[in-house]
Amino acid sequence: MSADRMAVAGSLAPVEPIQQTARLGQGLAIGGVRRFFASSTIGGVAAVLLVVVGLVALLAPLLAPYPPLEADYAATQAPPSVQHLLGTDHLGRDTLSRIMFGTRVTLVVSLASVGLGASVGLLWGITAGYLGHRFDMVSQRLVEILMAFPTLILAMLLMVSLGAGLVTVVVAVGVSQIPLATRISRSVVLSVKETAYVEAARCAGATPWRIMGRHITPQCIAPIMVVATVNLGAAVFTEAALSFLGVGVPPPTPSWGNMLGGVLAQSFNPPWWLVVFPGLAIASTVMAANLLGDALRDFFDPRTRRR
Amino acid sequence: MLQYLLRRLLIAVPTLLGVSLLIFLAMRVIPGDPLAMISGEGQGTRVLSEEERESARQSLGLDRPLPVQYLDWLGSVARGELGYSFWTKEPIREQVLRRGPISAEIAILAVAISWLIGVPVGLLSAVRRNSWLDNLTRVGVTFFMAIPSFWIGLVMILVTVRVFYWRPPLVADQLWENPSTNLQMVLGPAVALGLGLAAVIARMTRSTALDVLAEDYVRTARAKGLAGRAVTLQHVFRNALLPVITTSGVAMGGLLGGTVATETAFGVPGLGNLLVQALNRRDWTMIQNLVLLYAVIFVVINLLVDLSYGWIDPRIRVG
Repeated sequence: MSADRMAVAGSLAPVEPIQQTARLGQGLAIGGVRRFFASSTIGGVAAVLLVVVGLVALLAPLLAPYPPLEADYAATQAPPSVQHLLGTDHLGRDTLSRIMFGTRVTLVVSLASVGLGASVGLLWGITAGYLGHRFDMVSQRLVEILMAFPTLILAMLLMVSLGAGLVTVVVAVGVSQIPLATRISRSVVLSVKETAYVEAARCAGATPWRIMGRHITPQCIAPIMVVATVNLGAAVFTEAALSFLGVGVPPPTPSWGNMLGGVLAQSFNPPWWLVVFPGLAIASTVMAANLLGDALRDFFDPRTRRR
Repeated sequence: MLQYLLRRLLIAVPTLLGVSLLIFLAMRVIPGDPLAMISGEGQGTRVLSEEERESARQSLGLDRPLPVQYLDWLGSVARGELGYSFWTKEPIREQVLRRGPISAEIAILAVAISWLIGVPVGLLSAVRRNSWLDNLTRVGVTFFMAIPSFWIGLVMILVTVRVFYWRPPLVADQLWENPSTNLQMVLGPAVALGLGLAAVIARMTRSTALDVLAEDYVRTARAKGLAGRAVTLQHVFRNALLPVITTSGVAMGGLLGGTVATETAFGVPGLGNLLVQALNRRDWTMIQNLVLLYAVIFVVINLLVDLSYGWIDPRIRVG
């Protein structure tokens, strides 16, 4: 499930921080965005697709043909037709509208949880890597403990202890992403820490906090951005799985996962449109996030460019 | 080697202690206590009065100090006693012993399927780089890495029911009792999981094989006249194997989570199904023990993966 996570972990380990800052400095400018689109067609298409997903989420009330919770008992489990382009579910709710509103859950959960996981991971990894000694040892043990749980199981445990709801899904998915982000930023710090310019800053009397903030954090941004993009896909996965299993976003709020979970009650003869369309929504979003992640990694670190 | 094994085992012990503490705290401290969690949910159950709640807490041992409860739990787990389901009063150990083998079968079959598909496909695609086969592989890998295994499962059910009028057996049998129904039951989830994992393995095999193909010793092997196939199998394959095993090891976390979701999709009575049931019923004794079990399994698998490095790569064994 979190298959994509370790693909990143594997390919990200060797980074050349110094080159990256230069690239990042340009990368943040508008020209950098243009260069990124020019450097990778697939990455550009993926980015556009994700923007479209975001727009659908924002404009769902305008775009959706029906309110997502409106039941139409005259047309329950109707196959796709002109009135209901993607059919209806067992309560006669319009599948297309529900997928569009489900985009909101997906967007909120993935962005917020990735933001949570990446920022906590970044802060934690940097302080642990830079301060070293006992603090690093203790925090490494803590990360190991978090990593001893399979991602989905950890998220499930957190869901049951925090109670179901959108915010808890964000926390559960976000916490399950902290270990990887911590590992990655810590490994970058360990290599940057020994560079001459950090030593120079130290000799000039800069405090550890200033060194961490001014000299080390920028080096970690690029790898963390790549991890975050790929984690976006993982977050969509985890949210979908949680909701599918009935421990994520509680119904009636539509999410792609709980739409698929709703099929389970009739699992021996599910209506095909209720299986296919929410799944395609998940697949295309995750695929876009993964492809964008690959493209970003190639952009920031050309040495790993896929052949 | 032995020293390495011992050191790894020593590290695993505090990790697992931390894991158990985290589980315990998640189940007790955040929502008050399990009883508050259950009665607070109020899912059709009546609201307990203060005295009833007090006596229930007493009989469950929840009135004791938290450290005592924790040590008590650890002690019984260490003795192999997993207690009783809060909901059905069944012994958890028996449930685990009955359902565990089914989940293990699914996981092992899934890994086998992913290797059988992923490694050859990845190797071929690296050797015939930029051919139509390679392009097809890359598209397939991108696609299968983006779809959740439980969705593959749902689509498989849809297709088998609609097209072949076949549905998975409704009764659960162990492999040694009735191999045919057992295999019919586990094959679906195993294939659904295996396909997703195969994509990961193929991607990793391809990229490491490409690295290996660029090595000097491969050129030497070619130059001394070895046949293309011999080079691929003896030089490329073996050297590309290590990262692939690492990948498989890391992917195990996803696989264990994946069994939970696919078992639910197929309605297979494995451990994952039990966990989902326990979560929905707020069966906290069950949740606590099952989550710990998953973490232990994951840690042990990672340990085995580490040990297998030495077996495959003599350089690590010596160093």
